[in-house]
Amino acid sequence: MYSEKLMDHFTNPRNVGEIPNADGIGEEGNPTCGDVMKISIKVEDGRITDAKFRTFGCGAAIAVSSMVTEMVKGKTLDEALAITKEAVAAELGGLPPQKMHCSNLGADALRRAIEDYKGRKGAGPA
Amino acid sequence: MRFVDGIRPDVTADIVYMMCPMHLLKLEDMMKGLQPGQVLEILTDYDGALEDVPEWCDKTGNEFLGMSESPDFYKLYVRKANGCKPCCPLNTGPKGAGARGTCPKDRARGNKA
Amino acid sequence: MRYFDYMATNPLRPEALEAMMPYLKEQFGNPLSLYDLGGKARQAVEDARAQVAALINAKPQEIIFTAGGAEANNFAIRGLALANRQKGAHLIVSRMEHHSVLNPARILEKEGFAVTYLNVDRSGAVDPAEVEKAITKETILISVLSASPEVGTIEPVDEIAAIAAKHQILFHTDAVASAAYLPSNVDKPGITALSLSAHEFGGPKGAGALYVKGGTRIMPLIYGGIQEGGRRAGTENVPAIAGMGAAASLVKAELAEGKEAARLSGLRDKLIKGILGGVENAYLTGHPERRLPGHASFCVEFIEGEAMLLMSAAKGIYAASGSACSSKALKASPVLLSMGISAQLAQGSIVFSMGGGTTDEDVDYVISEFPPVVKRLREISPYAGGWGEAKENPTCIQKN
Repeated sequence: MYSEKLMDHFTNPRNVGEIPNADGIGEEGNPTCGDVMKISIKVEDGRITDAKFRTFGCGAAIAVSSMVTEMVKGKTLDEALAITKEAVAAELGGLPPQKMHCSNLGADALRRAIEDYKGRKGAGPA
Repeated sequence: MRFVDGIRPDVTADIVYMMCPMHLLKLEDMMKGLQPGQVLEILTDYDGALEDVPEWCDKTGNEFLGMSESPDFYKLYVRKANGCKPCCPLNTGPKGAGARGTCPKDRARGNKA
Repeated sequence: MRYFDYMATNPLRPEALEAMMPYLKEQFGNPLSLYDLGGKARQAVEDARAQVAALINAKPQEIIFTAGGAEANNFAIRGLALANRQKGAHLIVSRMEHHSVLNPARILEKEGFAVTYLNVDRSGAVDPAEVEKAITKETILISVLSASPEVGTIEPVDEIAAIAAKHQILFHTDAVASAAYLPSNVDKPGITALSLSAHEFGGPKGAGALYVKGGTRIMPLIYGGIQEGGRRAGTENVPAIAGMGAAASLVKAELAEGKEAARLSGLRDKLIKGILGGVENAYLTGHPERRLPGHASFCVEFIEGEAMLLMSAAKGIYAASGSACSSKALKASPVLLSMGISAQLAQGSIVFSMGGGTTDEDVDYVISEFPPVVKRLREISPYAGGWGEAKENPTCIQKN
């Protein structure tokens, strides 16, 4: 049902945890529905330098989180915002149709983290 | 069709919801177990039985007593004759047709199931 | 491989395979054919019918072969309800039922029947008093399963059968999950119909049976042939039926002896103790005592079931889950929710079911290897420290 690449990201997930003093934190999903992703990012000079996650969810959700955090590192905020669920799924070697929402959650959690960062920046001293 | 009332059957075959050719198979099967003179009652909702059961009786020499109607199904009455002819209408067709359960009525219509 | 998913299916018993082989090979005849090749096939079906009947103490002519448990359940609900519509149009089914009982009931609702869905207690048990309370003048059929494949709880079938008999209402029980573990006896007042699935007791897939008490009218699901007394048309799956018969004979002997059930009960209790002792915040689901031998089911807090299954499978442990993510429909198990388990806890469902091939060493392996799976997934989970502010959200709209 899952690709080898996905299974690799599930069994050896990258970037598990949270970044202390993160610049942005985003959470998406609800545990009653089965998946929650929490992504924290570090931003320097408009680029995401680090990303970590914690996820409550299925194998696909964990692999998506791992992949998203890998994909955003080194990207500008705009580049990161342009990451689509399809791109995440493709990087994982595809997702079964009923698991596509997991990649959606990944992209959404990331977007929220970036919004959180922008919000903090806007609110604080520029 | 002759309508009858108050017949006291010796045996009842409830084949409500069973369709062709179960009415004839069950009929033949049940008749084998009856003594001459005994009456079989068939409960069925299958319209084809109204033609097929009297016809079966003609062919086999048993006596079709008639039917009575109740709200949901028909009650048909057959009296076992003395020395019933060992004839089964299902086996009169081509060999194997009976095994496929082809209906005599369907065959008459040229409808080779 | 450590197979702990006997509720999903069982390996084929070697004796069942042996019984099937002639009918997959040289004895390929159609049971309705008049020559002796057909006669041999017919005999195989009738022998199997007697064997299956003996398993549940029925008469051979009361057994209708089907393509499996789901068909048997559909047939029972739809066939009995439609055949008795003139007497009333109300059914009672429990919320523990398999979808092959619930969905036909829902379809009947659309066709004008009323259905009462019986609530269950925290252990998943139906209260017979609730069954009796739900009965109206219109009630024609009650369906309560013998035991739950999801939580292992054994339902009070005898008590419900007695109530059904008292009120002269038809009673169907889905014995698919229990047949390999508990003796079924239909020869008493009250039980009108009972569903069986061959592969749940070591027979092949693709064979099942519905017991229907002699003299009970049932509307066929499949028309167009004289097989099974006109009640189920279609050329019989002779090899599978022969295999089902052989498996039924073995199970009957096993159940009479009682040793296997005692062994599996021992393994079950050991596994339950081991998991509850080795994993914090894990809860047994289902009834603590009145449960199937060989059935240990849990909810593990703060992690999700499908991830547990996958990670366990990587260690060679094959189990099952009722979590939303593990289901194709992405919905949490209605059975767990109906027992009052919260939606988020239900996500952590895991079911270990054991059978003939399960050894003591397999159980030891799970007791030592499963807790690390939980530990690893909790390291990844944002809720390792508790649910925090995560709230119940009954409407989960999956975005695509």
